[in-house]
Amino acid sequence: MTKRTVSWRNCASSLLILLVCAVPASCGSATPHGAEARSRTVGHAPRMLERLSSMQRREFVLLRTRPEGLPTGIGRLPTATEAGINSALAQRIPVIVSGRYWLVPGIGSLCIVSEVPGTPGTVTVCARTRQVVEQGFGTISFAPADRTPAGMPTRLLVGIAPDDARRALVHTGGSVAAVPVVGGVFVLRDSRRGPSDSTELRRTRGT
Amino acid sequence: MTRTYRQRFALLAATLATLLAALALASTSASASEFCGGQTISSIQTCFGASRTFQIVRGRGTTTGVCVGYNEIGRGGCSAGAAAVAEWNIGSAAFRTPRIMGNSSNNTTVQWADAS
Repeated sequence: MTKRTVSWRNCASSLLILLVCAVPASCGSATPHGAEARSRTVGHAPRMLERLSSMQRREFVLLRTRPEGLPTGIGRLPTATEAGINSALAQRIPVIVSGRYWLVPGIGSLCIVSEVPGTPGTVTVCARTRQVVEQGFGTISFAPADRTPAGMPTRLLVGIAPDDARRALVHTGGSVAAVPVVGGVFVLRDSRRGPSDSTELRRTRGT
Repeated sequence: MTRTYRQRFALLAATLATLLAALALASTSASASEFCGGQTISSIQTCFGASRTFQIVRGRGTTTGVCVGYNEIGRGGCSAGAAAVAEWNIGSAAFRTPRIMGNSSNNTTVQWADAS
């Protein structure tokens, strides 16, 4: 009898310990991912952007046009999701190049989501809105060198800049390419084998 | 009395084992596994993570843009912009070796990179 009572108590206390430990542990499996994501990506965005920030609306003409939204076939986008993007507010970036590009606003951040021939799946780049206003940002893809005829461009950079930017200076390994910014978008196609080091913006007034 | 303690010890051990198993399962479901954090990279210096099964690889450098890829594909997705996150959803999960490299000849530090 005594033995049964002890065993029951042991069971109860063990179950209690298990519950106390397992509940936070199971929550922890989700929480750190989100928390980590907040510190990891481009901001602290536990929720989805509901409306554009004043800076996003003021600085980027593309975001002032009617949103088209991301197509439903796009796969998982963890970085963009963690940045709080609202896929319904995505804007197709009007570039005459192969592939599809969207500018997607998030909470304090902007993302470019792209699908490019020769690169399976989806590429996403995200940065803080303020940083994009100051420096612009973009996504770079490379055509497979073995399937690209000699002399044809292998590197494609599609970038976003604020309304007052007139040129983007794309630095690559000591050389600089000046690219016009039209409608807040700049495109560089060349045969460089490596990505650009950095991008500078030249603006309507000053630099 | 000794037997009671033995029983308690056995139950505690079983509880701990269950808890550890639950934690292991929980961490598996979280799925993103890190690689190359804190490593120095550049346009000529790539960092490879341990091989694993993943579909999405992503990362961020502290001072320059980065390219993420796998196996021999070093530049699957590249960010043009300092400290921007680059992510590549390859479309299907497979056993691969994730990699991250910098955009610039100047070194940068991998702030974080993961594969999931």
